[in-house]
Amino acid sequence: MKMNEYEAVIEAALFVAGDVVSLSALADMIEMDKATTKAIVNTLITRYANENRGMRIIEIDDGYQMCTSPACFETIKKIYTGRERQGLTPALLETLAIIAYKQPVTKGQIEEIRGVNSDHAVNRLVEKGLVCEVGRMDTPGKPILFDTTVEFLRYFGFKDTNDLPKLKEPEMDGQMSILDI
Amino acid sequence: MDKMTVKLDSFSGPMDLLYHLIEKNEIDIYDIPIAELTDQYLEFISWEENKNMEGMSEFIVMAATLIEIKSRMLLPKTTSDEPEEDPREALVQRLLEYKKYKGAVDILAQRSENAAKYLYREPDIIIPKLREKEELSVEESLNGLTMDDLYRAFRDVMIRKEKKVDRVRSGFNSVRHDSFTVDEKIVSLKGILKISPKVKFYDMFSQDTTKEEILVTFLALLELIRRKKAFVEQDDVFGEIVISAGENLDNDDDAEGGDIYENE
Repeated sequence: MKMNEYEAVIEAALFVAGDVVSLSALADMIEMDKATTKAIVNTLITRYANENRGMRIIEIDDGYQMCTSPACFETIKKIYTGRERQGLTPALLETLAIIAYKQPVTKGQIEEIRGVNSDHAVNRLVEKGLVCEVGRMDTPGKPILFDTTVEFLRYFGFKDTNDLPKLKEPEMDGQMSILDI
Repeated sequence: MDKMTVKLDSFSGPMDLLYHLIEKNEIDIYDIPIAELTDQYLEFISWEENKNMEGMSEFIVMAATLIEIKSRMLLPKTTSDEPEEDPREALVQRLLEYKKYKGAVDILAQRSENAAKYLYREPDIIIPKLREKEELSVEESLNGLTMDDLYRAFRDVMIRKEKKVDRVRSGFNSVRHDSFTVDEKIVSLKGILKISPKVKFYDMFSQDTTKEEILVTFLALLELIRRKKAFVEQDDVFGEIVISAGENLDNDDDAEGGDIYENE
């Protein structure tokens, strides 16, 4: 197979899957190692972007998925009747932010930060598929641990959880004033 | 007033309200004028008209914390050389932590607006091969496992199972079905009284009679007395109870025949 034939096969696979396809699955399919496969997909990604195509391929959760170009959004919105994205309330966003940056995290830890019962918020996020249970913490009561999902990555456009922007750690220069008192 | 009620609802919790007050007043988070902040916080809470416990309790907990810090700040300092911990320290740490995630909320809100412009197809054809992520195969996960390991794991499970004694429930006994009913005892008491019109109460029981049987018989006796089908005499306190047949004993369908105990 020539290089552009590989590209074509991967393009077809991503189109037909309509979901995230892992890099290893793509590599298996074309019988290549992962590094080469990655290089091929990246050429494809650049080609889509350079030619201003209506489709894009995004990297997500150690895999790839096909989606539309954001440039087309305003125009195709007129005919697009897919599920409308409902915004998240401030309470949900706050809870989600804590889970995203502290995962895996228990409900108790979330409540400690927010100072407010978070049962409802966590349940809503699970319903929306943005977070999921990943196990239990090995402490008394074995509380459930929560992680974010692939849907979360898609919803906010992250490649993976390492892709989350670093949070500003509180500056420590004011620390002295506490001790001065 | 109504406007203010809505206002408290718009905060996701006490930390959110506190954070709002600090931002609004441009307070240095490391040097919080606790008296002032507490006053403002309490004022916010007092506006809330619908003081339902569920929504308010967490706000009140924070109010109590603020007041506690305020009162501890008023205490005179000890003269010891040890540097005292600022009563506000714990609150400051919590606020800093909260502030960090408030920053994350802004980032997420921004990102989601942009990410919403990418549209995806719903997956309609499932290609298991393409969806699967790298997982250990059965062979791989069993690699290096010996029969001995398996045996030890099994033994551990069994030991754990044996050790697991529920301290509360292990003390419970099973609940026994009632072996005697008042109805039955009434019938048998009547039978006895028909044969011998005078009976001593304890003579009716054998040595191994259970407490339950005695109790039920006693209840049956009380019922017979109420229906005037039997009379009792007792000479002394705790003395022998002598039962004698009443005049109505044979009269089964008297006025009170429809009683719950009557099923002859």
